[in-house]
Amino acid sequence: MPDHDPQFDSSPKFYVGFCKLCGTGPLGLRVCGDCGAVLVVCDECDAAWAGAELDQPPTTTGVTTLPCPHCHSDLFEPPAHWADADEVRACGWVDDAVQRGVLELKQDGVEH
Amino acid sequence: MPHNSQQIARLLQSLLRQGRGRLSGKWLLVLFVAAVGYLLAEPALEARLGVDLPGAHTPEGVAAEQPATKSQPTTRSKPNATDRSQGESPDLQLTDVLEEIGRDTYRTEAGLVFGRGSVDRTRLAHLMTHADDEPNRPGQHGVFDETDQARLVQLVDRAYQQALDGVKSTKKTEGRRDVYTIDLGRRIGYIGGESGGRRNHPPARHIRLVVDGNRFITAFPVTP
Repeated sequence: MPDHDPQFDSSPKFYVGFCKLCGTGPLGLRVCGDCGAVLVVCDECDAAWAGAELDQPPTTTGVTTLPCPHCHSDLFEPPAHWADADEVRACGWVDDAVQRGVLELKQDGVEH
Repeated sequence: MPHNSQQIARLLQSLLRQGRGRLSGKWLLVLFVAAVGYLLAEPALEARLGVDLPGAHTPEGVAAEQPATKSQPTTRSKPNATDRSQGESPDLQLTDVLEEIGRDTYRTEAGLVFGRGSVDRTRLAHLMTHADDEPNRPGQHGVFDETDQARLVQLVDRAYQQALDGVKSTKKTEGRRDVYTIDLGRRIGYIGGESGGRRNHPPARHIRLVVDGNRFITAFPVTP
């Protein structure tokens, strides 16, 4: 797994919309530092979804920690990080959801 | 030469310790009286000479150099949070609005708990990300007019109390999360981010507050 410097990891590089829970947070793609799973995480209120069903209640929510739904590792702490382009491309469920039109992938306002 | 009374007191103590055994008691007394006399005469000397002499007194009209201090409480209940304030508030300290209840964990008067969490490491630091605009942030980024950390915590606390009282507020619940939108009746900030920038930063008088039980998650200005 690439080494990600947490000081440059403060904002999502890719996002798939805005959080319906808090109303404004960008929904970033975050990589678990332990199992490598990619999850959708609200950058504002720390709600997380394990898949593309963003209309459903979040899979988990974070307070002092944000446990990965797969391995319970803390998604707040490094080496957890926001996904880069390679990781997004390599994530099967994200690619599938984008292909089906369920998710719209954006990077700094650029539509993919 | 020391520039404050604490340093002068420490210097005197050091001189007394060093002088013990080398100087007679008479000379130690002379030194002590001279130091006290200087401190007492300092205001008059500054007024006459028109300068700021080192010591405990700072004359009016003379710009005294003050170290840049952060808005941090001075008691042992000292939050370890990122401070983005523009200067120390002369009236309000963090200890006035936060009570330490655990490691990096603080409680407000209304019972709102600020602890660890978020990618910003603490909830206080996360709150302070809304004290500045992020023009490139996708969508809306609510920005508080208030940048002093203690006053901002106080604002959020008062909004929380208003929400608990059910005054001019709405509540949405999702699992353990309560999302309040509170009308504070006056401008408290503006909408920034990419979306707010495109709309010329509209003013905001509502605050959106997200809590998990009584634990603070986030808060920011919003236009519902």
